[in-house]
Amino acid sequence: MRRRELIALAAATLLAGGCSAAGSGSPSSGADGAVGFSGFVGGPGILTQTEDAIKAFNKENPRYEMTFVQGQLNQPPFQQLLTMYASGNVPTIFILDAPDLAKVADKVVDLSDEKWVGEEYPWARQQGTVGGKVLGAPQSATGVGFLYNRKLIEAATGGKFDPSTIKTRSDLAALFAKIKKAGTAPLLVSPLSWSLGSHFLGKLYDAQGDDTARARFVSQLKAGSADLADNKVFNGLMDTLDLMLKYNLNASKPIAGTIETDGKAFADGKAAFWFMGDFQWPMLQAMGVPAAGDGYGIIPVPISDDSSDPWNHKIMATSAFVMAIDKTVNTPAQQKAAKAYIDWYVQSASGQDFMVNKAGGVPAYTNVKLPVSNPLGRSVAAALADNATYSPYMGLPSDHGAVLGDVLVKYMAGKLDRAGVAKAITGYWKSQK
Amino acid sequence: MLVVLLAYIVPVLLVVSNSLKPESDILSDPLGPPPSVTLHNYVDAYQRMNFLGSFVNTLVITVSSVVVICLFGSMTAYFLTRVRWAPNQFVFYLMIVSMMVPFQVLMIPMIKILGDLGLLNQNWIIVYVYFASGVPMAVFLYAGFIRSIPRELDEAATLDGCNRVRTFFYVIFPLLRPITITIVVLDVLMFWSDFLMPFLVLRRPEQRTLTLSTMAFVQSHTTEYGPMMAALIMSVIPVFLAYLFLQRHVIDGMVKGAVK
Amino acid sequence: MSRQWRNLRGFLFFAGPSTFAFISITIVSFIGGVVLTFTNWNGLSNTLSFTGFDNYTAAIADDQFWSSLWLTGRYVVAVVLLSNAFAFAIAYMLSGRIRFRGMLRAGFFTPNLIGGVVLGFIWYFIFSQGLVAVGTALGVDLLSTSWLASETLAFWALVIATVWQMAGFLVIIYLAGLTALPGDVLEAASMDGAGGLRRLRSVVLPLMRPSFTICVFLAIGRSFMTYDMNLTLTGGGPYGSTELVAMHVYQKAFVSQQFGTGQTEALLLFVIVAAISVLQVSVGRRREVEL
Repeated sequence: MRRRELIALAAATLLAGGCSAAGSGSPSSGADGAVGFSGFVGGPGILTQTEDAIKAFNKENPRYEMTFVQGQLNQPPFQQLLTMYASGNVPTIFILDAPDLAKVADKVVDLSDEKWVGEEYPWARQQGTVGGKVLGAPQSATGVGFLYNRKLIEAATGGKFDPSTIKTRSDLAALFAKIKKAGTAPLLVSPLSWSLGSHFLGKLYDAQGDDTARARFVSQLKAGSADLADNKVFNGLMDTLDLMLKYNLNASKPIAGTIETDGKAFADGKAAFWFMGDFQWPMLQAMGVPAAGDGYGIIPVPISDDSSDPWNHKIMATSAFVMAIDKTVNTPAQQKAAKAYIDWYVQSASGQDFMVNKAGGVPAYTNVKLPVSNPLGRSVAAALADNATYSPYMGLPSDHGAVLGDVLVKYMAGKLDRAGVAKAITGYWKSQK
Repeated sequence: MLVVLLAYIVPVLLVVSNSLKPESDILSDPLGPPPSVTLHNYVDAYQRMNFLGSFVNTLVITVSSVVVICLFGSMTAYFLTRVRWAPNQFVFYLMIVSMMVPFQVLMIPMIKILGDLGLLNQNWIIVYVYFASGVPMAVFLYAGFIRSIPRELDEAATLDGCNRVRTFFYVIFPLLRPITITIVVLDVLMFWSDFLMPFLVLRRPEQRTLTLSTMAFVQSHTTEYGPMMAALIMSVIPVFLAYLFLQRHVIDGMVKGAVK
Repeated sequence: MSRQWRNLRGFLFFAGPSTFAFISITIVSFIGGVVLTFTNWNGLSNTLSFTGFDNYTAAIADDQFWSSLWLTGRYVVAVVLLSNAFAFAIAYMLSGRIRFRGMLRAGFFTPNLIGGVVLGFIWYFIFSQGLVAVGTALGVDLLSTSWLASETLAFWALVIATVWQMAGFLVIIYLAGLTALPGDVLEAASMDGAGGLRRLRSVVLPLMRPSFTICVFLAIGRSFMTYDMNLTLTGGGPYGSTELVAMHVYQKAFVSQQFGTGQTEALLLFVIVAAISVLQVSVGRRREVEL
């Protein structure tokens, strides 16, 4: 008896599965003849906000019916695009890191004639451009440097803290020494390869000069002819790293920190500075930093003692992600709908509200006048307005951050010296084709 | 025994205790008991992950896959072990060896082929893929069990006028209950919480399984631990209760019947 | 002739559906995967060209691959031994007449329902913060710094977490094996004292050989393929020292974007693991026959 019931239950479940299989995949036409298309557009930390934004977009644009594609957000979007392209199930519009744009150049729509291109900051347009064509629209800008906690600094030094006075490494060292003397830890260095490899070591290439100089440096590295031991930028960067490690809150156990423990320590006021980016604001807020965030900001990472060195004064600013539109499996009507989404995002009041207020982004478009809600982002936005930012070099291989970030973590652990780091970097580049 | 169990489920207890705390307490004091119990995370997770829908999807996928695997897996194992025939040997060892293929070798070709055939839009494809990838282990386990059943039983059934099909369904299959239960449990464990396959194969929001919905709270720079842990507990509880129920009403009875 | 025909018909009825699904998904994809190792396809482009054995040369020249394989070898030995020992011990205790048996069994298997990726996060949480808090509070040096910051301890953290997970899985198979034993064997063995232990060794363990063969087989395969736990618990760190081979292969293909080389390394991994498993199963089976 009992067994028969079980079998009946199983059969019923099977049937239920069979019946619901009638639905089809990514629909090209939604209800009421609206154009259906799909978007893989939620960046880290803003999944719910993105779903809400899409609902708002659909409501305001009854001609389109956008569905949301959930990514695996602890992995770079490009890795997920590989499986999406392999399966032929490609969202109409998707996000990716700007350096990956070149790899999909033959698969995405040329956006050069879109209206919002005229609104982009020059650096933003440059990052979304491959071979003279605009292929990607930045979601927002993000900046990297030393996050600071003004209250803590001022309490330790007893004076007013003016970020613009930090013009050289020595200025920074003097400030660190003063803070430490007052019994406060000057800063936190997190042993995270993505942070150190991409955001810190990236400056090795960036600070070589303009794009031509950067490319020349990289080709020398590949050819094995670059000598890092004599390279001014490399040594300057390593001197700064040594300074950071000397004043690190976790100097006694330098590689034990995690993003959570270090974030918590910074939020709790255990250290005055933290080498990170403005994208960490939502976490700091969750850890108890007041939403207003008064007194928090970002300063650049100085790499020399020359107060006129522009690389000491500029924050690295880049597009958090760029949005691109697939043309290989999505119909022209769907591509048009996806363009309408970008227009909505950049131009409409609710799109901008999502960009700036809900997602906490720093606008990469000059027409967006809303005040930035993310306090760290305000530093970035101010630097953008002052032209005090630089774009990172876009030609780094995708495993650069992971591989050479590990090398710097090893250096932090004391298992490698400066010559060892130089050797690892040159070895890495020589193995690149 | 209870001590061993307690040590064993410490990670689960941590999840339960943290799921009842506000986010800031999870990060500041992950080990301590909740200062004040809040169900906020559960309510939040329940709403944001479309719990019922995800639950039904997961249930349908898991039950269908397990039923298909047990039915066809036992039939296959029976034929492969009972009939001495060269192709049988070949298929058997092919299946065993295939269990050692890293999924990475198969992943991209598999979804490329399924995608080219337009099958990735079908809801049932995930059951088919689970069937294909889960059947070797079922055959392996069933075969080991069937070898221990005396062939005389088959012969006796044949003398009674049963053909091979009847022999299997009326004589052999009932004897396989203990190993069937084992396979059901193992497969439920694998499919219920699987992430990669649903992630690769299911694209539309309304198809999401519980694990996919839970992973929505896990993100690269920030993870929402509170809702994530609440979602985990809510995903596990139905299976836990189902197991307790089956253990009491089905498994114990079946095993007794099988032994005596 | 007619026997062949009868066998074929029987095969199609009994084994047809499984074999068809198995071949259409696993074997076809496998062949596709092997073909890709002879091409320069990058995982995305529309074109590919055949490059002969270039990927194989690159895979063999990849020092990181071999060092991660060696690390994985040590890891597999530790995981297979420990997880089987624990699983058998737990199953043996659970098979006796004890109170709350259903509850206890459910307690041991439920944690496995928390899938690999999420489970990795929980263990990460335990090792990076939980144990550190305990260690700091109690003044235990070994615990007061995160295990994940040390090469050796991070390796053992990975072993512990995997053993924990695998044991819960294997318990189920051992339990099935134990319940299939004649009742009086178990009762005799569950007597207290030396008599019980001796019976366990001389009666129960030999009868359980098939279960051991199966469990060791499954444990070898699964631990060689460990990826989720590796990625989320240690992420290969500190500085790449705990990157197991499955993770290395994945990183090679998808992070370094050397798809062909990664695919080739995965295939080499398969050949090695398959050889080990076939050896293990045939030795295990022979010993069963010797009984």
